[in-house]
Amino acid sequence: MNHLNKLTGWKILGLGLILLGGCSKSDSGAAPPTAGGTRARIGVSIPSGDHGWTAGVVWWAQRAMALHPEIDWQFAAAENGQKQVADIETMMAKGLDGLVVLPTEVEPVTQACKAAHQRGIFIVNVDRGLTEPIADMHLEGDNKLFGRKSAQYVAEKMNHKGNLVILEGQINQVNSDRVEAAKAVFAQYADIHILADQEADWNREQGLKVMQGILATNPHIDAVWAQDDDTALGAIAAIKEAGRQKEMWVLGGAGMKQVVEMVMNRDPMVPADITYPPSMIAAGIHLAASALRDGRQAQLSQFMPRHLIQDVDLVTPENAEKFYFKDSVY
Amino acid sequence: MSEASEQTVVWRGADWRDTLERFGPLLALALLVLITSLFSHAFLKPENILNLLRENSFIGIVSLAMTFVIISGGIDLSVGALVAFVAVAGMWLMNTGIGASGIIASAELARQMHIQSTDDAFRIAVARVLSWMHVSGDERIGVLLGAAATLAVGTTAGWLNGLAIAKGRLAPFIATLATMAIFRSLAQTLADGGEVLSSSERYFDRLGQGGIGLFGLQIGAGVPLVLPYPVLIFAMMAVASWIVLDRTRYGRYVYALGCNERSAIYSAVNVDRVKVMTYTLSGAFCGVAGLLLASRLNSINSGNAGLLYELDAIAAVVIGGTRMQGGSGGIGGTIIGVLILGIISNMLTLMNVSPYLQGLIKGMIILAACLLQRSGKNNQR
Repeated sequence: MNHLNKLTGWKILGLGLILLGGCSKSDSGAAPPTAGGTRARIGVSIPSGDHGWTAGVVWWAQRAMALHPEIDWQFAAAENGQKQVADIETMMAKGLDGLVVLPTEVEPVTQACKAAHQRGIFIVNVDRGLTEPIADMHLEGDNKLFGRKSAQYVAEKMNHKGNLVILEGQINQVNSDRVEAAKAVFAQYADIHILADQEADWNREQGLKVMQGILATNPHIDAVWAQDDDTALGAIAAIKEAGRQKEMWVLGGAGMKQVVEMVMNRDPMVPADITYPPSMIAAGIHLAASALRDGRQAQLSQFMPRHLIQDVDLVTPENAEKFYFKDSVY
Repeated sequence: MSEASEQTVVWRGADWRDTLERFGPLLALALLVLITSLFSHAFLKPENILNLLRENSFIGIVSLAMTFVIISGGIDLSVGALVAFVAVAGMWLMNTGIGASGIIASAELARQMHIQSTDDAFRIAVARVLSWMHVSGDERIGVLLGAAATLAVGTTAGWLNGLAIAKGRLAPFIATLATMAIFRSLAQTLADGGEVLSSSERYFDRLGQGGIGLFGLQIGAGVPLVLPYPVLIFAMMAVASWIVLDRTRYGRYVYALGCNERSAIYSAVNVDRVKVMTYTLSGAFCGVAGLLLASRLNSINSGNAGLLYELDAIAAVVIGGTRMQGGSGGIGGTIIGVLILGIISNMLTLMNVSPYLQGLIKGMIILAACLLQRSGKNNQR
């Protein structure tokens, strides 16, 4: 027994180390230097893929980094603020010229970015905004427009009357911007009744669970404003289980591959979708790479806008093809 | 393998096996440091080492307490939720104290206008009491109040855990599983399910973010290299824990309880008292960890702060050579266990390992570390 244990121990350790060697992109690897002689070092710190949208962020980030082999990339994904702060500090210890950051929790990550900013690290903030003006560039989606545009579509499709269910996301600024803008639109129509307004955490399991409860207590529902595609798919599963798919339809959001495909195939339950593309992280990474690769970020920042807001698009059967990315995970 | 031949092997190799058992965790740590520094140049930079120590001091403090609990033959699953709860409670009181006059004024205005106040009745009442006691408004007093509340809530919660286990005769696993749910739920209720941001602008974050300057060394232009306070506090608590566990009567009772509860009772040990003290200590340590973590982040997320701390702490204790069944182990091993876990996650970030593969590698290194040191013991199970 003892021998077996020991042997297994060494074997597992060996296998682990081999894996580690295989998975890591060594930081000492020789690579073509740029004109300046040294390669720009950029860290990318994002949330780990805890729901579909963030998994899309991870996928697009990796793709964008691969487009710039001339940069020395460091990449880390964090499940909470504490881990993300540690990630950013580890990257700084290793050495950074630039940092692309999509915060999990805004407050602690702002503290870490402040230390980076003090050291002259070029910061590109994507999506959720830092609480202090320390980012050299901030790129975000327009969440208020997201709420407004999607709510206007829902109201028109309902012919300005009927029973509506609202499903909210994780409780943060992004969610409240969307929900407040949407509710302001619905409030204009006296004949639209909001039957229920509940939190569904932007994920499928919660969408299913919450929708089951709402279906049980509300005999007649016309539409569901679900705000997120994972939540929408969960809600649709609940509606189908209840055998009420003829009664209502669902508007999700974000532009998930499966949902865009359903729109393309004219699924009656999914008449449209609204984008909030996770690819915005790729745009942020590209901005950082192009600003830092020749060491001319000072000149670039003379004319580059500090704050960029990305438009959101309504996906309908007519234009769905444009928003469908076959190899994307999301 | 037959019984006889195994016995022979054991007898012959007894000496070095003993050594391996004693120094197994240390050996694993040394190996890990060596390998990591070969893979990444940045690992041994003082800045990285200090970051690593600070990041792991919170879970380290929780692990110290978990060592007491596990040696006594128990388990405390509520630590992660308790860290979140104490931090939320402390910051809630701190913010209420600092903003008391504003809260009362807005409540008054809401009453006159016959609308619902933005703050709930409980918070308004606490603000009134604080204001009556003349402790409102001052940021420094607010911070001290919050810090005291954090420690007090932690200690009280731990004491309740101890009572449920000692007097209520509940299995520690069940009792602390229940309180885990309770503490997390309380944290989320107080914080409305979200983040609590500190309203102290100058003082609260100093404890978690500051440190003592090291010989005037600098990381970069104008950025001094410091020994962070959380690391210092962790080190002091580790020394204190070692003294208590190794050099006091209470410490000996903890081992006795874990070895055999019945014979401890027959030896006239007040078993209930030892149990209550052990879980109270666990709660108090969670209080310290929660205070430092909240100060470090200058905010706390009620949903995911301290998430899975219980598992990391148990892993650190077990990697450090403490038996899950209780009765043997020590503080030194736990510190090594904490460092091993910390280095693994630091290394995975430094080496740019795909985030999806990190759990696999972390798990395998933990398995290997445990099996390696197990191999040194000759009469397990």
